[in-house]
Amino acid sequence: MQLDWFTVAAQIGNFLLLLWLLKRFLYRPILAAMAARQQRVAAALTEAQAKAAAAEALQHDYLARQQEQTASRETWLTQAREEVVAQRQIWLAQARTEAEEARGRWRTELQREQQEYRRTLQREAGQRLLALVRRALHDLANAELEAQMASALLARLHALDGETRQTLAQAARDGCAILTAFPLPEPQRRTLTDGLQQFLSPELNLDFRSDPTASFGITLTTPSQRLAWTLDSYLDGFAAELQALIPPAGGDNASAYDQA
Amino acid sequence: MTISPDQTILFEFGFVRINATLVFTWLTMALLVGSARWTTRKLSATGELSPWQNLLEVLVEGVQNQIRDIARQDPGPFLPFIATLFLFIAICNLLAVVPGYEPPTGSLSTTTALALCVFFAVPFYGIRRHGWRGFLHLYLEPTPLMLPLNLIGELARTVALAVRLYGNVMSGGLVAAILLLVTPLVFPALMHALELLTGLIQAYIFAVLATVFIAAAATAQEQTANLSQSRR
Repeated sequence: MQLDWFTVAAQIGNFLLLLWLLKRFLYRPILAAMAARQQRVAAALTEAQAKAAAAEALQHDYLARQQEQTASRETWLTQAREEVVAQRQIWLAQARTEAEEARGRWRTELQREQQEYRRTLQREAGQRLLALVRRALHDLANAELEAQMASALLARLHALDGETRQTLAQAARDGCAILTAFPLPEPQRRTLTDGLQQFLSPELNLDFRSDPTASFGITLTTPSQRLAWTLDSYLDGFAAELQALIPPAGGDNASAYDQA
Repeated sequence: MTISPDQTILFEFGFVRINATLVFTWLTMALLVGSARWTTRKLSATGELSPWQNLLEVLVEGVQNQIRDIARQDPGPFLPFIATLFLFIAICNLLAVVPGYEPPTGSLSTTTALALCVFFAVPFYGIRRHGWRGFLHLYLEPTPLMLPLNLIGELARTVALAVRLYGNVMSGGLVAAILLLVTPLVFPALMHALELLTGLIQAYIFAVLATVFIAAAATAQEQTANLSQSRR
């Protein structure tokens, strides 16, 4: 074994130089790179954790909003259901009211129609009765019956008040005619002439006319006045009374219906 | 046949003798520093690593882990010293298979120099960590009577470090040379392969022992300080 102390010293120097060089060119850069990588990884981890935390916060926020929306949706649905039920009740009530009103109108209309029908029936019955009576009386009418009516006409002249009689006499001076459906026999003519001259004027000049289409009865006509006793006038009076008793159809009730 | 590359003198001027040990040491240093400089010129702290950077990082991290496991403390202060020891010895031993290369670790001068470095590194790190007083007190433990034995122990382990490495490396080369004379085929190649293994193991052992000595000084100092505090 040989030991060269110069070599020993030189090797110590070499080793220390190598130590310094490797420390400068190897360990420090490598350790720095490793530390930088570790820092980068740590930063990436921190960032990832921060992002995870942010994502978790977002998830919580989203879940909270979802729950809130679900709750508000439930509230809205409940409110909407209540409103629908309330509106349904209102519409049902309105429908019931309208139905009741329609039913009332229908009843009123029905009653009105029933009354109108009854009145129409009554009127038709009255008219038919009148027509029947009229036809029966026309069938029974003849000159002798009209002669009887001459007496009735004279009796009506007697019943007139003085002023009317005066007016009629004044009108008769310009001409006076007796109109009958059948030609009057001579005795009735004479009786009528005498009676009218007595009541109206002695110079009364009567003109007797007959018209088959005229109403059964005797009619005294002057240019301005007219005095008659006819079957039609009786029946017309009866019809007027009947009409007074039975109002025409579509009267007061119809106006009441329109108002409703 | 030369046993040590120290005997191969290439240049001599006075007491300055440039022998093969120094020349191959410089070559090895140039190779180490050059490759380190070339590799660390474009280090990447992000993304993909180059294979060389990956290799160096594995190496540095491996040394760090070994120091941490052995010393039970932060490997930062010891890393350059221990790693340089390991890299220098390992590269020297591995290059021994290159024809014409004579490993500087086969020189007792080199191994003595490395052992002396460890010898001075122990108090250096101890004093740096705990101060002069605390470190020198270590040699008086457990009793001042043990001071001579402690000093002898320091010297003995330094000599043991130097001789162990020198003996192993020198014997490997010597055995290969003898085998080359006896059986020129097969066996020298096998012995060279074995030499690669033993070279790496020797580098590892040297680095581990250096770590143990340095860490033992620091740990012993801490234990001494703890004992002193408990006695008070």
